[in-house]
Amino acid sequence: MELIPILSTIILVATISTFLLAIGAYILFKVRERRGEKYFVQNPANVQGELVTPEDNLSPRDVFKENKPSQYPKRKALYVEDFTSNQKREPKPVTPTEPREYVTQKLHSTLKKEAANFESVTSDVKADENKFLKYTREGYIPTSKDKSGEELKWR
Amino acid sequence: MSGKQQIKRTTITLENDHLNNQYENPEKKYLKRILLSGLISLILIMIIAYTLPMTVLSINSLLEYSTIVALVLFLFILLLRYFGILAFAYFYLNEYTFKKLNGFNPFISVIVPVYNEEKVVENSIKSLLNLDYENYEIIVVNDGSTDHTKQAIEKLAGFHKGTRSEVKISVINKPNGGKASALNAGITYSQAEFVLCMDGDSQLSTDSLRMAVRHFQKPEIGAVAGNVKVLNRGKFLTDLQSLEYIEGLNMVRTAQSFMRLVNIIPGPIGLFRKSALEQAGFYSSDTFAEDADLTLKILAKGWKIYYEPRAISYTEAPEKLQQLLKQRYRWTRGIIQSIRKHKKLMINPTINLGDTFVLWSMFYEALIWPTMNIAANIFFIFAALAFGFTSLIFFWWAALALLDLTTALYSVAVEKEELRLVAYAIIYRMVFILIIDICKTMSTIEEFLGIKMHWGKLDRLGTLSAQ
Repeated sequence: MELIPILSTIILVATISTFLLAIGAYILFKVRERRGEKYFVQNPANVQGELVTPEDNLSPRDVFKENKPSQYPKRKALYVEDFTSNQKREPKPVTPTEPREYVTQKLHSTLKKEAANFESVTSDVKADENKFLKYTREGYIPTSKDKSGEELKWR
Repeated sequence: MSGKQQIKRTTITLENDHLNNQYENPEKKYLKRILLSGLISLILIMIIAYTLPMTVLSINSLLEYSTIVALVLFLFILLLRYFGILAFAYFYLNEYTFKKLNGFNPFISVIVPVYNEEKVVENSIKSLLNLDYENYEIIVVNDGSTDHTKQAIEKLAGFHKGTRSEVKISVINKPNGGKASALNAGITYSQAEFVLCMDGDSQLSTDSLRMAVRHFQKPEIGAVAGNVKVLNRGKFLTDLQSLEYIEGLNMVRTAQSFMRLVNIIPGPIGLFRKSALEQAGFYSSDTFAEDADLTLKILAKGWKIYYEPRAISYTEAPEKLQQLLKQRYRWTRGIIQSIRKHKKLMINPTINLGDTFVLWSMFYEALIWPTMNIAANIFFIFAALAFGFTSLIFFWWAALALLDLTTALYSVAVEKEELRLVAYAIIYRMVFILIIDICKTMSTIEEFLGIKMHWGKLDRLGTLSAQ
């Protein structure tokens, strides 16, 4: 008994049947679609909706603050980790000959970039940024704009 | 679910300015174009017929020669496609396995658009409350449902206990405007930097958010596509679709993710950077595949799109052939509409080479590949019936079945899926893919003829839960 001719016949019949089934099913689908319910999408310029929220309508930032004790330490660790990894990536190590203001500005710009990615963190981020700014009568200023002369910019 | 809470109702105005005009499908608009191209083809055939006797080839030998060349080309493309996908998928998995990403827990809004989903919406929301993530909210947008969906979701509004924290569920009720407008309403309401868009009948795995969001630590990533799996298995058609999702869709996304160029973020699960959505202009209603359209818009803006295999969304697949054809009809026409919308990028690779590559690959998968598959099958049927070469079709099937078995085995092993699905690979191409390809070809013809198209609604059973 030869298996290949038998299997070939089976496959041939199956393929032809599949063709007929697919074409027939498609025609039936089109016929039913024409008879069935139609949904027309309308897009006016403005639509009135209804917002259902819990009475204690905390904003996402407030909800975040609710979880702050568990969130905050992680974010701080992330800052430290990223700063450390950034430092590792920097080919030039910080040497005593580099001016302190360059170091503070580099730190400040690095933190500012990271802060931009975490918009939902509010005063905590600003507090971190303010660490590296000098507080004067005019408010927080970058150390480069500090006009107090040659003395140490920050400790 | 928690007990009664105080609920506040507010009337809001939702803007639709960012939605384009409804895609127009005037019937027979392109009939002149079809007739003209047909006439040109006829003239070319007449020229060939007239000049053929002047060459050494006879008509019979020309047909034989061209058929052999076409088959060899088809086989070459088939093997290239399969091994290319497998190779890229392998590289991606290597990279994925050894890459370490730090914890990243930004606030995420999960947007759930619903339309007549009363049977399944509660299971979907339950799955969202079981997410292993501590910093998210859920926004359910009711797109003018006509059943009891509104009542079902308003019961869920409030603060609920999630796995790690309290989760706020807000509901927006709006007039029916389509899935795109529902998603846009939720995205606009959200204040989060990241939004997860899903379907109202999908259920997410517990670590979906945590796995997907970590990729956004890279600033170039604009969106992350998730892994879609079939929930209602056990039937012949749904098992075949399960295999298709694993082998045909997810494996391809894995390969695309290696280049950060995933071409379609699936509707059941997609995590987006809100700034990328804003640049892309949010969801549009001018195609019937808003997910494909949005993905192409995001890619066109220069963002990269990643795929996360462990961000899983379980969805109900159609159980009847008619429902399956309805789904694939919409997918095919929607994808072709999206490609046509971005066709300028296909011929301008200097603008965005990645996007050009993605568009051409989508064009190939939607138009050329199904036609080649059907043509090959017709050839072997003709050879068997007209010339008695029945064994040819056996060897053709055997070769493809072997290829499909190998791919299925690899895909199932990688995704740690059910091994029993591999057995379906034997009939996968000959039966299932042939039906789908015929549907795709007919849909393509309808799209180019400009025949009107309407949204349909797949019947959901809502009997299964992913948990």
